[in-house]
Amino acid sequence: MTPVLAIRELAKRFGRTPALASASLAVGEREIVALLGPTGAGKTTLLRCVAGLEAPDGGTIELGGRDASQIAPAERDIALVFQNFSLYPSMTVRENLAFPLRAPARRRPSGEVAERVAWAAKLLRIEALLERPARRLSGGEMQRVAIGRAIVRRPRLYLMDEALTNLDAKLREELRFELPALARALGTPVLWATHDALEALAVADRIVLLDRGVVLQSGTPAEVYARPASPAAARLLGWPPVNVLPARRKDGHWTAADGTRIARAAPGGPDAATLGFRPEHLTLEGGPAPAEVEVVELTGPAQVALLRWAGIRAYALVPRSARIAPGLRVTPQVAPEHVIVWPAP
Amino acid sequence: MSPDSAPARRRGAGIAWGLVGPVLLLLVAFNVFPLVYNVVLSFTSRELVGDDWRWVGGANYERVFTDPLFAGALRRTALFVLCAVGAELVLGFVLALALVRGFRGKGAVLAVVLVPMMLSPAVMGLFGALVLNGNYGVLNQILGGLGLPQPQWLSDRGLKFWSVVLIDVWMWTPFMTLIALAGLSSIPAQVHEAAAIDRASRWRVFTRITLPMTAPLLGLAVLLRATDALKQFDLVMATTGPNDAATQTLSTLLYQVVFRDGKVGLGAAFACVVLVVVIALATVFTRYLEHLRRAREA
Repeated sequence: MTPVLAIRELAKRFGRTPALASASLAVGEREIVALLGPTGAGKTTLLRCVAGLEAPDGGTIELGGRDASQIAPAERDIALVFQNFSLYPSMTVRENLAFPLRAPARRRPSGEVAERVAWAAKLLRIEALLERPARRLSGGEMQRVAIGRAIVRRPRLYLMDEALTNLDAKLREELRFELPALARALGTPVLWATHDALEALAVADRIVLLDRGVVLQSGTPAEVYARPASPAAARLLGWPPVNVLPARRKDGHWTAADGTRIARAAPGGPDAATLGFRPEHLTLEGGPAPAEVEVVELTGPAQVALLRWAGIRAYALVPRSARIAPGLRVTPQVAPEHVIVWPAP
Repeated sequence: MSPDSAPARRRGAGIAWGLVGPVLLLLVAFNVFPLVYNVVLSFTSRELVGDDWRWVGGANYERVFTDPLFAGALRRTALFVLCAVGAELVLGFVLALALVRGFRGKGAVLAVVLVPMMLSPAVMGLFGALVLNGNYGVLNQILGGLGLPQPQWLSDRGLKFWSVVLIDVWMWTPFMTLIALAGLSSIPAQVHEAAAIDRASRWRVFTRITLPMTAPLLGLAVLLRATDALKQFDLVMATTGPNDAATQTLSTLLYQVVFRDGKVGLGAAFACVVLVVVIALATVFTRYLEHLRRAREA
């Protein structure tokens, strides 16, 4: 099946600064793909290239199997929610929502326009704002109208550029469930750029990790979380942050530079490696070497402990009921099956 | 001693008057006194030379409102403001639309476009008179070279008024361009990008986005230009002179009445009437500014 969007080795530089080095990804029918990366990773540039607002310097973009470089932005049939709104300030909210439906190429009967505007306004809870000039909205309201302007259309693909970032926490939580549900109900695929790993895990069928213009890994949220392709990929997803340390194979065990035994090493494979393990897999008892708790942070459902162990600062996620405090001596251990082994570079 | 005790308050008031006083003095000397003196003069038969004058009551005002000379000047000035500012607005906006996109040498082009505005109106008037001269002017030489008729721009009765309009348009279109450019460049690129993705036609983008978003600034520019054009004097003086009936504006008529005919009293009455018109326009102007301010705050 032809993917709705296929990007191959996309490159884009601004002056001497490369924004995208070689980014490849695909979005299939009805698929929600999260593009996860820190600020400056190239997410916005990638979306703008897909929308046709930037011309790539290299690589190809295909929309429905057709080379997009031959298609003008208006003809791509894509809806883009910009990071910083971009409403039409001289129009009311209603006019903003109706604007895309009044374009000559997809002119709709006015009854249908009114119906779709009302539907989007209800969904985004902006019914009370419909007659208000767009310039008189708060940031969160503007962002909702911007989302509304994208969903009143039935494009072949939605591009969301940090669409929820400017919303307050409550609405963000709600829309994090509602927008993917809506896209699935409409059967429209979404490329969803965000820097928020939890958001990516929550909304996506597939996650594409982007860092410094390069795709680090792509896969289902579970895959990417459990088997990150590199320490950098592991760091992008998950909080508290993944623990990473260099180790050597010694007497059948992965051993840290200071001699601490981390875990049993599976036979075969490299002698030197970089190890990673998630904070929830580090338990505070039963290990061979002592460590000291430095900081304890209560996060609500659990506690995060920062330990000085094996020559690094290691994060451990411990149940709320555990009685720990700074200065406490513990003996951390991690089960071998939870240790991610990346061959040393 | 507490700071708001009587001597301190007196000293504070002294400082306040010391600071405001000089300005007040200047204001009275150069604004209030001439205004009052002008009103007084307008009820006299005072002339430029000689001390022989008497009170004439409202006779000067009667003359201003009945003499077709004044009505003609008012009509001509209104037509001048309408045509010159209208043409400047349209041409200036079109020029700004052409210039708003970046291109190589944009800075140089912009600098050349702005030159006429930088010159003094008297200089522009003299330039205009040179270019439009019927016998040796550049324009007629070009027209002649092309085998076209060479009208007497500044002496033909039907043409000379429009020649002055033309010079004003030449001089002040850059001003409109500059203001329109400021308005156009303040529209965020993303708004245009969103419109491109929304498949808006160029006409729709222009009428629903570009125009509404630049309109407040353009309105301001029109008001500024209108009040300025209302005072049109230099260009007329430099091209056809103050006494030519075909190009006589309010200011040049006033000049003629006072400095050629020496009728100071009549001129003063005329000036008072013009002042009322200007105050009315200024009120529109300030109301508009207030409206803009409120729109921005809302």
